[in-house]
Amino acid sequence: MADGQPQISLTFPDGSARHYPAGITPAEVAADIAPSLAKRAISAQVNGAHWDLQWPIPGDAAITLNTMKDDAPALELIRHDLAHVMARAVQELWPDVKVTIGPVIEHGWYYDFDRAEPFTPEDLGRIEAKMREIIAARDPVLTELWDRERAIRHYEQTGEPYKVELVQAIPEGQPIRMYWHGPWQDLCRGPHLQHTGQLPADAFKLMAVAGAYWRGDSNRPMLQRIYGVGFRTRDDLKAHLTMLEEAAKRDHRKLGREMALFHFQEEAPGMVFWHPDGWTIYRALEDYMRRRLTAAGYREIRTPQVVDRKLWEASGHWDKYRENMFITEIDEEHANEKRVNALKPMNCPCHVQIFNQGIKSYRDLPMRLAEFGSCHRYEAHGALHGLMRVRGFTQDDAHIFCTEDQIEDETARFIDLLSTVYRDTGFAKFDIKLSTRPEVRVGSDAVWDKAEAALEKAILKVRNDYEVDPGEGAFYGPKLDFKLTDAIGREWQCGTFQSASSAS
Amino acid sequence: MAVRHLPERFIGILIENYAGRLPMWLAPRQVVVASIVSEADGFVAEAVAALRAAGLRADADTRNEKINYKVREHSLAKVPVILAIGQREVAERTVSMRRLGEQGQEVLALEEAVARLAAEVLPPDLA
Ligand SMILES: [Zn+2]
Ligand SMILES: [Zn+2]
Repeated sequence: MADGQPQISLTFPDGSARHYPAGITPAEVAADIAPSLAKRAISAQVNGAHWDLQWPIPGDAAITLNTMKDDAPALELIRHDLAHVMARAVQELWPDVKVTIGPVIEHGWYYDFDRAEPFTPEDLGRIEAKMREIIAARDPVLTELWDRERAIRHYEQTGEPYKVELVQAIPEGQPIRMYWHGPWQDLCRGPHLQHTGQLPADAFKLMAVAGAYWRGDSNRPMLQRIYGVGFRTRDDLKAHLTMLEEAAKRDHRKLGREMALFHFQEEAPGMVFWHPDGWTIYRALEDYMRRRLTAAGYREIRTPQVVDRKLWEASGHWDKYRENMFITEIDEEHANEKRVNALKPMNCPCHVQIFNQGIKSYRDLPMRLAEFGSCHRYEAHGALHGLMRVRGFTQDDAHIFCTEDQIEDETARFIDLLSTVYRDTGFAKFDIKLSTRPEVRVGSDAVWDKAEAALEKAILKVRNDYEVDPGEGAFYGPKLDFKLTDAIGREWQCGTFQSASSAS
Repeated sequence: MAVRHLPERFIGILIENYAGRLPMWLAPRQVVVASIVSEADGFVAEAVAALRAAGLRADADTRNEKINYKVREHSLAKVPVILAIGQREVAERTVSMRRLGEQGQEVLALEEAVARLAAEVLPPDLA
């Protein structure tokens, strides 16, 4: 291709490189490679970024062409295009509805609309039918870059005040990306599919309508949010709906009521009232855990729940975590000043107090301390969810004080202990995730190298697969998270193993 | 190093994973002994006492209700084992054992039922 333009070099996953004029689009690249690929391609990864087939590539880059077989990009595009198609369907049915935003979320998408009348379940059916018409029309998806003024003028003319506000929020000088699905236009970062006919007409469903404030601000208008789920095939959709049905049947809040295990009430939000049968389960599990911990060499301790703010200041909680702590004040000995205490949000600082009192020599290490400690954390009312997310809870918490050389062995022993617990409680499958050094951290790279290597080696002693979550460790050390898969395929974040080379 | 586990949350996950049908060692009520006729009440009490002595969480149901009604109610409450006792069981010192989610029942001597169930309810680390 020698047409005088500057050439760029595109590197493919197999390591081969091809040369093209700068500004070539992935669609043109695919067509150049093979007509069949041009047909199957849906988007590209360009230097790791998800790239629309219509976007020009400005310079040398690593490129991968995505097809519907590539899970993550395929589902992202399907859900994102469905969000646009849904908004178009809504405005075709009710032209006076104002559109706002519509992002992709887990399993699907939502879109927020400003409409005086509430959407009814029948309305959702009509919207779905209209969406299928739009998909059947195989309307092309087009994109252009506009400047701000043009975009603002356009949205003022079409009477879309929310879009005007969105454009105004984009920093000056940045081009505004516009998308069209057929005649219907939206402000959107993209990428998108090439035409509406690529969407699976039988693999999506509108699930629910909920209220949502514009920009999450309770002083702004209340909008209506329509939730949808979308998949590649009808079978995937069916499997998801079956899973939801099954999950609703198993909801522990419902079973907790039916089996008279526990209840919650407004006077103590997020705090469990355990009934005899529920407490029996709790005790059976605690007794079991206690035996397993004892067998693994842990010593049980008990520390105070109400502790002076001085200790929380020293531990850093007062500074970083105060909004989540329950504070109590008391007139101690009729002193002039009230003494300020906080309920412990975690056991760690208290365990350190015991360690500080007790150790005589390094021969006492490793020292394994465990507590079934009652902890309290303030969580927003809306975040509470039965037993899964509470304000008052037990932390079955252990601290292992050990030398650096003992870290690997102690970690392996802990993974082994937790594997046993999960197997005993019926979870055949669980995953381990290693979170490594974050950008903001304490300690030298050499210390982190050692700490991360110790955890990796420890995992490999017990099993040979694990995920890595780069940069997600705590600022004072890497950590392991354990994720269980339940009987209907849902994943649950469960235990945590936190390494801290400085304190413990 | 710190290790964290949250029992409340874990119990929520267990309940959903098992849809309420917890394994025997975690079930709050492991056995209900239900009378079919009121003449069985004495033997029901004896069976419950034997089960409790063997370490089981057992309760009696001697209400004046039909056995099918009792079985349905305890099944909804996810009780894993129901032992039914009628006139014949009293005479032979046996129990009719029904398990949650299974069809049919098994008739066996009280002592054998107690021994079997006592082994079944052992937590995995003691079994
Ligand atoms: Zn969009
Ligand atoms: Zn801790």
